[in-house]
Amino acid sequence: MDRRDRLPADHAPVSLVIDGVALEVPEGTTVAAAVALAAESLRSSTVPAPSGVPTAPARPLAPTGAAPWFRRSARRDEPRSALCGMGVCHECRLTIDGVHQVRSCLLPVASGMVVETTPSSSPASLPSRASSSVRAATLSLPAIPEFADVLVVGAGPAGLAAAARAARGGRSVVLVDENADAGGQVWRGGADPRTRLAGVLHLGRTAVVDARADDGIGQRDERRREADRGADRDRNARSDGGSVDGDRGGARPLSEDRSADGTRGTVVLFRPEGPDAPLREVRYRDLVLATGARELFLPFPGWTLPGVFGAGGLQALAKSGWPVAGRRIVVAGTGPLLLAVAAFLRAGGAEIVTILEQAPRQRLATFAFGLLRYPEKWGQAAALRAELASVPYRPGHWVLAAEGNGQLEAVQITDGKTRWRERCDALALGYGLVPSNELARLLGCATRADGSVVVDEDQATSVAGVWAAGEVAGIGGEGLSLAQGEIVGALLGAQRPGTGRDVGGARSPQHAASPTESRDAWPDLRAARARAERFACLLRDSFALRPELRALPDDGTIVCRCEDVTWGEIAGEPGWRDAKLVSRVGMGPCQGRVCGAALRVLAEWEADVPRPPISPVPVSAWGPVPRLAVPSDASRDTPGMLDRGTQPREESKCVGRE
Amino acid sequence: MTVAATAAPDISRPTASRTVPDLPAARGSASRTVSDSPAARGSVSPSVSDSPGPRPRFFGSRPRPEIAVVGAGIVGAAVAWELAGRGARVAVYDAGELGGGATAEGMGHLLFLAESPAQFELIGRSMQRWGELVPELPPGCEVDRCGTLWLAADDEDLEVARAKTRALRSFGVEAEVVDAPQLRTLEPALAPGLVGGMRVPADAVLYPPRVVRYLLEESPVARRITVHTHTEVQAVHGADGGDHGDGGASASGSLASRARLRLADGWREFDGVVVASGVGSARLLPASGIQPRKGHLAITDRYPGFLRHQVVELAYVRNTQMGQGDTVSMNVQPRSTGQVLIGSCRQFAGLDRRVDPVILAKMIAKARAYVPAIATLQIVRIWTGFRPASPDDRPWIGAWPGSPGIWIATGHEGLGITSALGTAELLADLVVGRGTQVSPDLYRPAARLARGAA
Repeated sequence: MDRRDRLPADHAPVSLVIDGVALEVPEGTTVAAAVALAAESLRSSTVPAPSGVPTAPARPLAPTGAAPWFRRSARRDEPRSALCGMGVCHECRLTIDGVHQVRSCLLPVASGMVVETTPSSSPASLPSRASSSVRAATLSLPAIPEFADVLVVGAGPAGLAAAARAARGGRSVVLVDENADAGGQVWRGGADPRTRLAGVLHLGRTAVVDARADDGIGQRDERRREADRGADRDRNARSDGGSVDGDRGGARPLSEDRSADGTRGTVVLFRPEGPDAPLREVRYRDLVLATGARELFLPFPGWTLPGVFGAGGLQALAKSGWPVAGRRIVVAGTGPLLLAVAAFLRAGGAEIVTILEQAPRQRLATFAFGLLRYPEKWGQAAALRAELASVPYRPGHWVLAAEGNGQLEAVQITDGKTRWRERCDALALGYGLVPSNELARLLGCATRADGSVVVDEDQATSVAGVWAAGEVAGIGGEGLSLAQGEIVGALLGAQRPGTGRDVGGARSPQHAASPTESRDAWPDLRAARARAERFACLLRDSFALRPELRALPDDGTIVCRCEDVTWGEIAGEPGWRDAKLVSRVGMGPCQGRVCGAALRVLAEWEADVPRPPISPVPVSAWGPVPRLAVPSDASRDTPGMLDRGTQPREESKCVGRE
Repeated sequence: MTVAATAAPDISRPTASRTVPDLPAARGSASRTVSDSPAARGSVSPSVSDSPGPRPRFFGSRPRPEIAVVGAGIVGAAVAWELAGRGARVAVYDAGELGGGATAEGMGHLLFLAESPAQFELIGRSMQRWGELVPELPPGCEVDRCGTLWLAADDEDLEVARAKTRALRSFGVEAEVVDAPQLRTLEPALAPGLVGGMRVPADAVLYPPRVVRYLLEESPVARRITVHTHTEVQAVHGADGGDHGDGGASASGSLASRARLRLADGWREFDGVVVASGVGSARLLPASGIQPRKGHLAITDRYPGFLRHQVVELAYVRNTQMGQGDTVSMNVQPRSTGQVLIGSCRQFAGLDRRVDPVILAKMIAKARAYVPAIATLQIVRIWTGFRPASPDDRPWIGAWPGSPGIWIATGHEGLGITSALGTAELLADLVVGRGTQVSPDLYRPAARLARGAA
């Protein structure tokens, strides 16, 4: 594991206030990690915390424990802490600079930031405070264009490879990622040189909210209908002197003239540039989904305790400054990731109590044999094992339960025959990955039973103009992601910009004619991909989950962390939607990302097609009517719409009288 | 009919915790004895139980009548529950889940509306029945007696508020006009420019799919109800051989003595078939002319205490009743989860489920205009749904003409939850055939079809 991406200690300190306690943390630390650091400093300090900022009555942080908590759960009022470390689980939401429910694991600290784990004020009484720190952090961000020749979503290895290669082929490329720095989870932190691309517009901290592709019969009908309604509206607007664009609001409807530049769809983006940041529509000619994967979390008794993390999640948190030195950590789950995470945490000063691999020993032997065909992987594995030689590695073992009073104190371990207890401060649990397919499903791309997006040999999805590369198209690791990204990028780079709807014709290598891309590169790319796919198969077969893991939750075990829904409440339901309607499972802010994947394993339910927004977005992003001249902050805070004669008010009155 | 003053639920509600206060005084308690005589009808009703109540029941020594209900939304569930309470055995069919259609897609509000005395008769009775049912409901139904604040943006609106207040009071429903300072005290999140409004404390919001589950599977009469979800009814067929829906004519030539419905594997016979399948009703009974009226909703993360009342603009009712155009009406609700639900808009747009960014932006802009502090709240989900709209803006409740044994109860547009229990009672009264609690004329299909409502 690459350790260069740990935060350098010599980063300039940034001061912020967490629950009334001022502290300094290195620049680049995320707010989530800063909260953990605050808890640690409270724990190690006897100096009373300065007071001043009105804060929660109870101590919000856990000063005597290793795991701070971020929020109390919805129905059970239990303490919760960050789980995934990458913006998926929504357990780390905090009030930051007066804005409630912000995911703190994605947000780097800024000077002067005020963080509250328990809000001191109700949202209704909040001043609409322009957050200077959020503003400052986004001042130098590049503008979001209205059109992208190639739009790549996800700045991990696949997205970066696709973006770089397409740009080299002469396409103009926009790369979008929710994280501030490129690199994804694998090259997190932007330290890897491969994350610095020439000729690519990288939009960090930018979330995809919604998307639609312009293909399909329904879509054409929709366009015609929109065009008709637009024409009506135009007439109305002209007759009373209003603005056509203003009438249409921020997100412009689809219209016929868009095919002129080869537009094949639209993506709605949001970048939190301050309290009034608007949604942005970007039209694309080609859309590359490189949205990656996230960890599979399987529910078991006690898994909601602060101190239980995803294995990749704890690694991601540690990379962003979360303190792990001196912690006793159990690493459990399956696959080579466990070794990488254990080595990473150990290098950060943690004590790895044990590594539990659920796969039986025979399977591991088969895997080791298969690994001989991949000398470079074999070398990595051997190096990791050597590094962890003093750590007990236990195949055929898994965690039954997590225990503790308000935070993790011990785990129950079994090998299927006996069970025992191991004390620890943290549990890093990795049962493998699931594709992050929300955007793909929203666009209507076909997916397989395991959630991966169906692609052809050119990495084209079932929707025209939409491509998929990396783990979203099937879990396969960095090598496969790079190969797939290269293939998409080379293919798109080989197409001349401006060829519009004919691009499909240039999809296969023999048709790729470009001065900058040699046809000779194609067989190599495909061979690399085939090899990486074979390795992915070896991994899948070797580390298949044992059936006992599906029996871990008891009736009282929480399955949906957002809504505190237990396994007993839904186990007998016929399907996902039945369960959702009766229990609210999957209806919380994570939108079923955690429980949906778990229930696919536990109950074989297919989760609903996701609904926009793909990530939570503040109400302010939708309006009011952003295509009008932007009003000043003051007028925006008390919109003038209640006055007679302005738009929405007028509309309701007029409509009512007709 | 009368709505006893005691039927208006208790206005007091705790603000810190979102627990449901105890029953309104009108609730039939264990000590209350209810006369079986017809004279008792129209006063206080007990909760449905096995003992003979004031509502007419099926009589006779032959086996209990068997009735099918097509549609497991809130209206179908209420009809099934009501008929079971009258002694029938009921089979409920739905092509999807329990309460998975408009019931799950809407805002789930219980509103006292009194646009006309005739409208209030059904709604007021329905609200009274809700007042009786709510105490039985499990916590998952998330009943919140938040009350409604109807907001006046100007003096014209305020005049409307005064008129509505008078109307509601004349029916015995508590309502009051509030001025601007009172509004600020009641809801600090509202725009300072609002001039006042009307407060209806007895209104409530709830989570309807869970209510459906209670009515069909957990209530005292649920043992007489069998539920077939994920089971599509392809056609219904009157007892005289008149057929409806696709392929009904393919049934064998002999006239059936009972009403029938067709499933994938064949026909089933019943003593009555009630079509309550919302936007799906037009496929079974095309003459009903039910059209899907699309709406968008957005819900936020949890912000307990942000709003205490449901807030609605006073132009709302006008907007809901105006023909084919797109309309946006501000309606923002606090949910018992602490989430804030933002509505509403209306479009006739077929069954296209996709979010229309134009009308969504208008809807949200309007919410910001009335509730400026909503700007910082995070929206976690946006969805669309389809209200079943009838051609003349009134629900169909009653026997389907020319098809003995076929009944209809649908077309409530945006008032399905509010009207469900009153609708169920009226339909059951008609099925039993011994007089009705609410005058049925406004809702009966026969006369309206003859007049060309469809």
